[in-house]
Amino acid sequence: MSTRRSDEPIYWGLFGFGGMVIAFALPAILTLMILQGFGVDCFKLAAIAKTWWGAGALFVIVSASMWHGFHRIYHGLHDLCIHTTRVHHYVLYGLAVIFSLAALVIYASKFFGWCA
Amino acid sequence: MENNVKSYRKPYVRPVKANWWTDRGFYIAYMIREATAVLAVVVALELLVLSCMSQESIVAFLKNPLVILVNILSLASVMYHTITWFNLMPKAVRMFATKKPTDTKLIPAKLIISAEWIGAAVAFAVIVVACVCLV
Repeated sequence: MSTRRSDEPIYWGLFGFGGMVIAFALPAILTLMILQGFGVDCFKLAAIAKTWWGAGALFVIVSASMWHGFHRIYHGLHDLCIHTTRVHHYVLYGLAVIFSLAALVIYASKFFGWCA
Repeated sequence: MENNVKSYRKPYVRPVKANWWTDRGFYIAYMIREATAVLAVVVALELLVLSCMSQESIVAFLKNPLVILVNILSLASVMYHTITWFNLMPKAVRMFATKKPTDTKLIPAKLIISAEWIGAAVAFAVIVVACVCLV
């Protein structure tokens, strides 16, 4: 009998955290984005991403939403009668890892001024 | 559970079609709830891409009618996520009203959900103030 512990609690924890982050942060961000689209000058993302609190918050929001979304898509495949294998697991959680690392690099470079 | 004994069981597995959820409102609502994850990933990706652009390019991108449409659909999707997420929270996490191990009195679900909505309203206000006033 295998005694290896499951790695699922890590993903479930990130899923739960991401669900909370989406519920708290994305309604306001999307509202501001839509208002900006209609000409109200309220979404100053380029300036916010250069502050320490903005870069930190945006990194958490982007990566937590990614982990939440890919976890839910991975388990949702079962409901669409797609029986998941290790390949689905590595591809979907791999995307979450890649986007999180990309967010880390982008917001770190914004904050430290490595690029414009 | 692994063992090396060959199994002669032949259990009947009822066939399930991929559209099993389309004939009942409850199942459709469940599938919509799970599908909100797709637009959440889209929004996160949009935010990440926008963060690499200059303010002029961000403003021009957000003025695109197709982008406005996707953003409105995403807002509806995120609000559905928020409502369902807050409502299932008391079911997923059992919070006890006292610390005594013999007393299993739970904090009422309505109280938890109300607290979540107050928190969400505060977070909304904080983000709007941060975006409009602080930079």
